[in-house]
Amino acid sequence: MVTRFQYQTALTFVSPASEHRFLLKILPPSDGRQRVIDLAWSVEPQSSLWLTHDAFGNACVAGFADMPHSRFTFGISGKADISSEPYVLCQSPPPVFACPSALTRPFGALADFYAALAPGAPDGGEPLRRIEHFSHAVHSRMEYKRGVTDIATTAGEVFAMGAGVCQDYAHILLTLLRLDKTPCRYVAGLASGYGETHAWVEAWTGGRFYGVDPTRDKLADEGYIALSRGRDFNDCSVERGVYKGSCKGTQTIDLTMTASEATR
Amino acid sequence: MDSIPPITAHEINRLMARYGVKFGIYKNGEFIEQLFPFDPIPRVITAEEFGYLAKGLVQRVTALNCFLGDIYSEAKIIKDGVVPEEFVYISTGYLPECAGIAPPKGIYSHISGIDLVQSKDGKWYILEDNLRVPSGASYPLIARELCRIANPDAFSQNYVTDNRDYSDLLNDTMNHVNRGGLNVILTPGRYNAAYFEHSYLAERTGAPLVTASQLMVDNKVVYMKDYLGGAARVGAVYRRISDEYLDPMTFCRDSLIGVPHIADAYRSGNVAIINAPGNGVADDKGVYYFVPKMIEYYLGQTPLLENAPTYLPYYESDMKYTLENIGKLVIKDVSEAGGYGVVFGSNLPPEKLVELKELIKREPRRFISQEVVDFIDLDILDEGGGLVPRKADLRAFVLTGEETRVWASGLTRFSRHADSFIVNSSQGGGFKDTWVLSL
Repeated sequence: MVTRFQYQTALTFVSPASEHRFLLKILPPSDGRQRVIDLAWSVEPQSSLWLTHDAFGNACVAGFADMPHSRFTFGISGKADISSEPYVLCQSPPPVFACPSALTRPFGALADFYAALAPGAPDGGEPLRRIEHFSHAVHSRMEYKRGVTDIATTAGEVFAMGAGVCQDYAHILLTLLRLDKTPCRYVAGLASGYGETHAWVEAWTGGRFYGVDPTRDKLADEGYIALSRGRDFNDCSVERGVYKGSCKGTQTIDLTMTASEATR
Repeated sequence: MDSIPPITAHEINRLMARYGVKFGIYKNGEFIEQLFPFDPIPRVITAEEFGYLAKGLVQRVTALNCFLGDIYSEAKIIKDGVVPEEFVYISTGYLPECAGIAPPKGIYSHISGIDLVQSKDGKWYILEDNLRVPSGASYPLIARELCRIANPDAFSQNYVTDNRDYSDLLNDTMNHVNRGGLNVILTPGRYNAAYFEHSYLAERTGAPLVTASQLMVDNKVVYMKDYLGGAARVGAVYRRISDEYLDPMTFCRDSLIGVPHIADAYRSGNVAIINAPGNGVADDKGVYYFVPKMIEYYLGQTPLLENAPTYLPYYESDMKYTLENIGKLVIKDVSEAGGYGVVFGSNLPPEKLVELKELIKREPRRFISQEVVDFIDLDILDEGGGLVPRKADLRAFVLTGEETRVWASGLTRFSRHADSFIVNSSQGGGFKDTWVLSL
């Protein structure tokens, strides 16, 4: 299905920022599940921009804006053809995807949750059922709530609170799957019906990475466009920046996704 | 040696205070600068003994460089079952951000600080490898300089190898991997523990000493900014800040002492970073156990220098041995450094021993246990000018440029307390010059 997308973020600074260095992971890859047909991107203001990539193969826009500015915007728009099959082929995932990362360490209560959950998980036959079982458990256990967590909140902390947003759901599922010895990765991207960037999980089984969304308790279908992948949120921030100026600021995000054509 | 009057020791320590030979420690959140107490009686290593040590050290560092190159590319040593995966990918020193990067000339550990001890029967053991930002070379350098002023005859009458070539070795090392442009030394600033060393090495090598705000990256190239708004290309950065703070765009996002986008310049092959980021995976106390196996695996050689006898509770038989003999072993937490997280079983009361055993059973990957090597005492001068014996180790500096060479000197650290085995400067230890004889 061909989907049009338009996404923009604006950062507004209380006092002007200068010597602003940034790294943006906003460029959707063509990966077999999604094929990018059209892509335009913009960053304002900027003194220098260059394209690069990180160790996980994510395309990045890097650059800096030296002159003082009180507003910084970046965005993408384009068209992508998204397959109805919710997976990406991959023969052997990097070993780190099977190991705990900084935000997905299996702490006490979360490890206990896994221990209680594992015996009842479907075994053999269709491994995807087992993955969905864990995703469903995360969805049922957690309450969706904004403002209670931030980018540094670990899976263990979120689990103890019982509430969080999509990236927290993803971190808990990653922790459970890694305890279950299933390599898996964090995905940052866009999802239709979700007014900001979204996060979900890809779990590896049988030579494929399946997209699973614990926040909505479903597989990542044609409504999902991936932007970047990594061990956890730290590898996939849409925007990283350092600048001189006041740390207070506000962020506004606009996202629209529309299915334009039903054919490939 | 008994002819050195105590006044000389005091005099040299006074001179060092004047030259700012200090190191800083953080205690309860406060930065305290301390003098690094110097003892004027040198450790003496014969030419023959040093020749043997140097061969063993070059062999070890060569294998460690092979290991790092392998781990960040094909990881054959894991596939061949020599090192278990668990000791690599969950190590905090392993940086997935560096996977697939080929550093200039394939060198990861340019400056290696290898800690050794000599047991009472004369045999040397490797205690620890330091492959991240090992410090300490500046101390014997400046101490020798001041001793030469205080007593020139000692050096003209004893065949002591000149150690002033350290700056040449360091320059050769930086030049060999330089990708075009300046060599610079990157310091976090004067509140760093080893700031004296950063400034001293910059002075000796001629490389500009810079903080992050003097460097910038544009389109994957590193530049040093000058006061007139100009920018000069940088080809090699001898960074004295740790991996996690190196680049807020790739590692810890809150770092204010790092250079944004420097990892991108490095990944693109436009700058050498000395030492390479990600080396922590090879000097982990758990991975230490496997270094002799690496020498056999990569070089097909028998290790010339041995590790202290070490057990990994990760292996069942070693766990059993550790639990049964805990009272005579030294237990080390692999995630700690600087002499922290080291416990001698013999110093613990029975209830603490039980606690420690439980902890080891719960987290076997986190600990190693070692036989206590009864290493030699070296005499130091006490306050009154008398000689007293103290435990001492040796940090040897191994530099890898076009070839790998061992600096004919080193940092001998000693414990200041009669009953202690801990020699780390952060724990109040002192240091001596190390004389390598040329005959």
